[in-house]
Amino acid sequence: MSVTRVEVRKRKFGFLGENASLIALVLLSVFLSIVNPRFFTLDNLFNILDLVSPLGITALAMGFVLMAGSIDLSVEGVVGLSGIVASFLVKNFSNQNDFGFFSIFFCLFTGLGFGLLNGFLLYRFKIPSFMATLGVGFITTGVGILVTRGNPIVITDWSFRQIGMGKVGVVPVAFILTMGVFFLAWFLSERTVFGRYVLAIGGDEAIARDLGINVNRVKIGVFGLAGALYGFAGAILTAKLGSGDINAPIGFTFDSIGSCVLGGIAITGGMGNVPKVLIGIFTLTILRNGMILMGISPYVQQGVIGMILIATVALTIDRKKIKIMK
Amino acid sequence: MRKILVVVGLCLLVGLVGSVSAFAEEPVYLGTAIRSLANPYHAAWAKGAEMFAEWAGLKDYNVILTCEGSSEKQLNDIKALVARSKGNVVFCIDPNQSTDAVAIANELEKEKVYFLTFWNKPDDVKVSDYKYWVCHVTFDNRASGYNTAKVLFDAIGGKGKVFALQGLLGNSAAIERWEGFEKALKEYPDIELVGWEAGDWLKTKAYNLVSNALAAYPDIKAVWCANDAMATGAIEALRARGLAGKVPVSGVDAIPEMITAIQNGEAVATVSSDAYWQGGMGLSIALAAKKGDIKVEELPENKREWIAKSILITKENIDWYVKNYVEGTPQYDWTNYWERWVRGIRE
Repeated sequence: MSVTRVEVRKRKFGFLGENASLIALVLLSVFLSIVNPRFFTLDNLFNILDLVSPLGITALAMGFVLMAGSIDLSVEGVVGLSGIVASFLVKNFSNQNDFGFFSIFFCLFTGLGFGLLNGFLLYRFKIPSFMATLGVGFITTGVGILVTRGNPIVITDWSFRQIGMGKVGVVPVAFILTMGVFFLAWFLSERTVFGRYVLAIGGDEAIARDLGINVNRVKIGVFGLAGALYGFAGAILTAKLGSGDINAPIGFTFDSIGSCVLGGIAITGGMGNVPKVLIGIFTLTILRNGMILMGISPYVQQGVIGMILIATVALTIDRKKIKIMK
Repeated sequence: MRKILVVVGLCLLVGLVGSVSAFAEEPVYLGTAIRSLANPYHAAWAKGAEMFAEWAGLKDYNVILTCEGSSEKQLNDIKALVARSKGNVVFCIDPNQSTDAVAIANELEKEKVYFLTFWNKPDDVKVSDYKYWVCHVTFDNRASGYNTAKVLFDAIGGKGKVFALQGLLGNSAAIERWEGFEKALKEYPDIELVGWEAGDWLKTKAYNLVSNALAAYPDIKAVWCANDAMATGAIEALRARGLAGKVPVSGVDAIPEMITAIQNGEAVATVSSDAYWQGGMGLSIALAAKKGDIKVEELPENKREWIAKSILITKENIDWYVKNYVEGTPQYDWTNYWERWVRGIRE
């Protein structure tokens, strides 16, 4: 693989095209700083860092899935269920468990398990990722409701809660963990063959197959990775909110996909990288933050986000490459 | 001596006739139709029904029907109990959906079974058009919004900047609670509403919105929320900034997490509709109608469809609430039918 399709695309886009999302983020920040000076304060900066996690981790997972040309709609169910697993294992009001930080591993394995199930359904039964992950999302949500009877499981383990609400100096622990995950993901994507395979499959699965890539194995790997990341996000979310609750991650699917799109990852697959997800999640978080700072009516906020998303897709997709729009 | 014997004889006779007639009367079944026993709200509801059944001496005839979210199952279960009791039954029902109330009413009207409904009913359906639909009872969302707002404003001395979280925009409970909040806002000229957002009833969303609001307005003195899930999210956002307990929060619903927060001084107010009372009183009123203690046709319109008083929980009565409702169960006078009557729904 001397020249991948991705590299060809990169050359065609040029500097501006390649960095459009970063430029937009910078312009947005400059604009908000002018409109409301409170935007550019340390206080608000750390507020934004706090809000970037754990959503950033699910956006990252979604980024890998999108780059591979699939979609994952099981986010909310798997994050919610993993969060509930965490809440049942640390000190809580509902049982006598006290596994502390060790329970994070159980969350990772819960997420990994359902992620692998997503991939397995996709490859073994040829169910499109859209349907398979939607189904798994419903199953995990159902299990979450069943085991909690719909009640939040309140946790009382204050040392575990530090991974969600603690601070090192002024920097939120959850943000540091999120950045750690991003670094590992960046390494995986840029420095290993796995990252290249993901983009190759997303770009054109048939060609990737011809090149001798074990497409199924890579896809299962992508969904498994995404699931494990959801599991980790679930643990952080529970620590942050102080309870395991199946309703806690509602909205994460839209926000994860939205972040990726805002960052410039094509939902048609084959294009994108880890820093783009980071740019995307910051853009979405700052947009929400900015709308409150500017006092934009809550009645129109969601509409504004929708319009920006459509505009972003319109501007960033290289339509010449796509012959059929599904 | 003879006189005394006559009196004793008469007493015995009355007693005998009385007990014989009591034996002759078939016991009435008590039917409670609710969503499920899996949530604490409906579990308390069922417990209330049990408490009433015990008081009325009908413990063995108390039947709880759970529909688990299925309207069809609810109607079928009700029909089955009517058949089993040969129509000798009264019902207290939380209709699964508004429209179900009509189907249930038509069925029970046909069978001449007295019943009472809570919460869900289409607005344009009149209870007074039915002979056996004794009452429809709901709770005052406006009062909940208003009362919690007042406690919150008083907690910060009636002046300062306040932030508010609405429920899902367009949802009727959200609109009504917000109207109550706005009414209180008018009564406190020194309270400034710096902003509000829609938290969609969700904890995580409330966390993010309150975090952003605190960045925009660091001098927020209090946060009003339209429900407890959002209130607990607001408290976590405040905790992340070391403000939990310093900036008071209010909610509605009385979920266990919120009760703890009020005990800890992190929240100042919430509202409970008192599910024990709902479960017991619903049956009590329906049974009274069947026995003729309440004459349904003589009830005015505003007692056929009415709003019941809910319990405002603040730090003043939190100990009483926990003792009676969390650790124990309260005592009720099941014959005081109109004790919590506030006003007719259409007033």
